[in-house]
Amino acid sequence: MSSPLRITKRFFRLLPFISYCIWLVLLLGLTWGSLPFLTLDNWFVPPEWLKSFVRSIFYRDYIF
Amino acid sequence: MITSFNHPFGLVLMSGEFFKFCSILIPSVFLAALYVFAAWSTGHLLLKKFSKQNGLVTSYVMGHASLGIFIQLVAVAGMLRWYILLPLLSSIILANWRINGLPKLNWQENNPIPKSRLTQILIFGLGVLVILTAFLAFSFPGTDALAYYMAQPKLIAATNKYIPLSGYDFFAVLPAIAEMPYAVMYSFGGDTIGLVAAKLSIWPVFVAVLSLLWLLARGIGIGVEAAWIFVVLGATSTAITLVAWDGKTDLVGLMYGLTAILWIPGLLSKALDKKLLWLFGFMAACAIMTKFSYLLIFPFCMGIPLFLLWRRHPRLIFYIVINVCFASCCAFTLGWWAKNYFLFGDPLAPVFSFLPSTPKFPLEQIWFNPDNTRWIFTTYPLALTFGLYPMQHGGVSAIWLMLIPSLWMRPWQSETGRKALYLSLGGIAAILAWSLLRPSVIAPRYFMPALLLPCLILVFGYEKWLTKKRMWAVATLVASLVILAFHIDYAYAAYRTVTLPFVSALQGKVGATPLFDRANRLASDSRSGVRVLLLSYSSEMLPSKMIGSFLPYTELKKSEHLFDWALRNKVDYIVYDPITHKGFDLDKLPPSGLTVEKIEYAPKVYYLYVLNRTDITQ
Repeated sequence: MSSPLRITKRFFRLLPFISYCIWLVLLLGLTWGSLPFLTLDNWFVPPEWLKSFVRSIFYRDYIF
Repeated sequence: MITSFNHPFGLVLMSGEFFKFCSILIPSVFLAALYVFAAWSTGHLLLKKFSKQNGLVTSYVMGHASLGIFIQLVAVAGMLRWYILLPLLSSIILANWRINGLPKLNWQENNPIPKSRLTQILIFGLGVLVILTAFLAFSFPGTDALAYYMAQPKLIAATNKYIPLSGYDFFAVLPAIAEMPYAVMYSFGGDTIGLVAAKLSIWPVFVAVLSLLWLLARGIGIGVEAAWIFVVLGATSTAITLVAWDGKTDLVGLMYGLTAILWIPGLLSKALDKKLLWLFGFMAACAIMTKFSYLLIFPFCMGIPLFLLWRRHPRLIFYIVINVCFASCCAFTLGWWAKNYFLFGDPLAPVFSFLPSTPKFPLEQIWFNPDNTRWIFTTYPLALTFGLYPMQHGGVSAIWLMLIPSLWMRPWQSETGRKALYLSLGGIAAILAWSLLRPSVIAPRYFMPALLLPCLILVFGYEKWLTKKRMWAVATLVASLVILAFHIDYAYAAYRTVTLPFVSALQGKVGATPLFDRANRLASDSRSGVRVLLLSYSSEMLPSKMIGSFLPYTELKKSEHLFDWALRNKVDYIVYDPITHKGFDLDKLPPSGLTVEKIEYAPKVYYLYVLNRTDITQ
């Protein structure tokens, strides 16, 4: 079997795992952007765009 | 002296004021520990013969609930005094020590140390987070705790009897067994030590909740490594960690609820023990009494697994239900109906209220308008994890979303998997019921057991990954470690935001915790019969001598200016939080006969108006 074909086959075999890793990164990003108190000069302060993104989806004003 | 809040070891470096700090910390820790031992001893005396490790946590939870019910009855009888409580708690501890001895842990039989080095690192991180949470408990209470959860027990301790808190009398129709430990702390410790001890008393509950998650996973047969993932899932759920230190009592309900789930008949053992049926029914009832919202989810969370576990024995289901209902009714009678009968003459309120004089608890709650409710519903179930909606106050950890692909391993095929599946189906049905019946009430802490149960099947799927797809398990473990690191960082940020300023305020530094400064200003007034008008939710920060007589803003008349009303009603102080109580004009000149001193504790947030009536000062 030629080398490019072997690499392609291997890639498609790994595709579910790669997708899973992307899923994990996405979830970690959303967690990072949604945690409270991470506004100080801390070790892992999330970037402002990430916090705004999470807030744009998961925040709405209440009825009062 | 503290020079900066940003120093990670600021707590230790305050050598100058260290002894003052210790004089508050040591009695507070002692009081919280005393209650833990008293609760565990009560439970151990009541349960006596239970199976090994389960017994330690179950005894504590059982004792916590029983003591809460008993102390509430003592408060209703108007006898909540330290010289009654101290002999009571001491004699329970001594009696248990004499009869049963000290607790024993049998680690060999249920070794919690995993073989994987990564999981060991995870446990280390978990330990750091749990210890940090204990430090966070040493802080000023959060908004809801100041408004009711800690204010009501402070009032009970101040008056030695159960008097509904002004402005929150509708809450008094609900049982307050979760708040009774706070009343004990205030009764022993007074305003400051009582406050610190009360907040610290929730930390053992947090540890018990995590232990129950471990016991639940291990109890149904999930392996050690996967069981730790379940515990980390709980510890990285902000709906749990945020209420572990802010003074709310939601975790007590979760602790009772998880204990009830752990003892669902047929879950840990196939044998049907009548004693366990009673324990299950009693704990389920206590959980509902502590967190009223559980009334909506428990029929699903517990009914579905119970039915599926015993579906081949319909007669036994009937026997179980009868016994469980009887045990629950006993708990309701002692912890709820008796209290309501003596306080309002209306035992079944708020579910069935027969007297017009009984305060009306709002059973129907709407938090958002239809458009926003529709949006929230659209963002389900992700909103349960990442939601930042007002009053949501945390969510469930993202680890559950990470584990969803593990369902491809079909983990439900073994006996352990089937048990996990039954519990998960119960949880999913409860979440669906909640989202359909209370779509705008997006508060995971209101139905946390339902959110945790479906995670069991996912965690068992993770265990399958460990043996069959190691690479996937390692990726999940690494991601869980990152989530844990985020949470440790957030807890550390919270430590700098809430713990260090509070420690500083306790040492007398003005400006560190504005609410505490305002409370100290009020406490320094030695006069008796002082009247405070509260235009704020923070009734807890009133000194004990004022908390029973303050005037809520609902007593104001719109037709009359506030200062005129205050002069007529002989008000001495106005506590004003414009951020929550808008629409009051306090910048107007006072009427003749009244001078007003305005003290600003935080610009546009916390104010105190000192009112001097010239007719009494001249």
